[in-house]
Amino acid sequence: MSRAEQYAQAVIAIGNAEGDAGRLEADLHSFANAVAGSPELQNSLGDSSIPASKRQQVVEDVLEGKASRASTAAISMIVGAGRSGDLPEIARAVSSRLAGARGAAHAEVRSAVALSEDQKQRLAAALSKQAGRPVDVRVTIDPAVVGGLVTQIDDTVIDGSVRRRLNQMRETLA
Amino acid sequence: MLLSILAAEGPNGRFIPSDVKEFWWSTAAFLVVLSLILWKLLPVIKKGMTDRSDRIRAELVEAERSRVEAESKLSSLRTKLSDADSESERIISAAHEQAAAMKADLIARADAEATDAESKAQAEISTSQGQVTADIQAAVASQAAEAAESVVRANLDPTTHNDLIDRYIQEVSSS
Repeated sequence: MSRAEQYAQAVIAIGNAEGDAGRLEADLHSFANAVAGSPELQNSLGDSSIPASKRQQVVEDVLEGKASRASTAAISMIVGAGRSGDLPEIARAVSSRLAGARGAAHAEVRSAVALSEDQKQRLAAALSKQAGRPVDVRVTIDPAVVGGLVTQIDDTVIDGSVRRRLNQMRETLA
Repeated sequence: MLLSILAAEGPNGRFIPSDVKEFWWSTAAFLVVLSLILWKLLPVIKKGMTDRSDRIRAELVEAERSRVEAESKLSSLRTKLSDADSESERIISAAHEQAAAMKADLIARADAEATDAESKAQAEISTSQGQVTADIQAAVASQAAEAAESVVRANLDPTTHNDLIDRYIQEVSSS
């Protein structure tokens, strides 16, 4: 079991204890996305020279009124342990475990633009067909994708992004 | 005899005194003085002469000994000089040989170093050329990729985004 999975197990235990693991999962993903999109947050939360209590105070300030107390406590624990850089992986592991508990698979989808509900449903259906079981789809906006989608289910990555094609072109030219 | 003749002639006022007695007494005094001289002075003179002869002989012997010694020293010096000449010739010859060997060694080493430096320089030039080519190629590729990305981003409108997403879903569904 990886370190991210161990943290995910702890986060799910907190969520189950508070009776709202789904909310905790959503808050965790939101915070991980917020950190990924803010270099300033990455620096302040990832700086080990800053005392853990100060970093945890930043988490509480950011999540105040936006997340549940259980979510704030769980995220604060992760950041206080100096694992803010592992937040995206922990969030994926939490979603994967929760989906697994329901007999489903979890798909992390990155897109340059937001997907419509119709697109989400068609994508979930297509992924379920391929995985052979229900798939929970979570879409993250990532401008680096440029266009198209990148999906990760467990260890499988289906990359149909413009970024991949640009990278292939760069490698061919080099 | 001369005296007898002179005595027989009698006094003449010139060589023979007028008084014969005076002649004999003078002669006797002369002989006495002569005898004294021969008795006392002659041995002294003879001894002086002998001493002088001995001294001269000794000096001659000493001179001969000195000459022989000088000749011996001269011979020795000539021998030493000859030996010194031979030794100096040997040293000079050895020095020449050593200098020649050192010169040959230095030339060989310089040649080897020059060859090595040339090889290294050639290798560095080749490496640098390859690196420069690779750098230029990478820079051109990067610039071209960035330009392509800019063009793609500029042409990605919402319709195109949706088309790309729909095509992706269709490919996943059909795979």
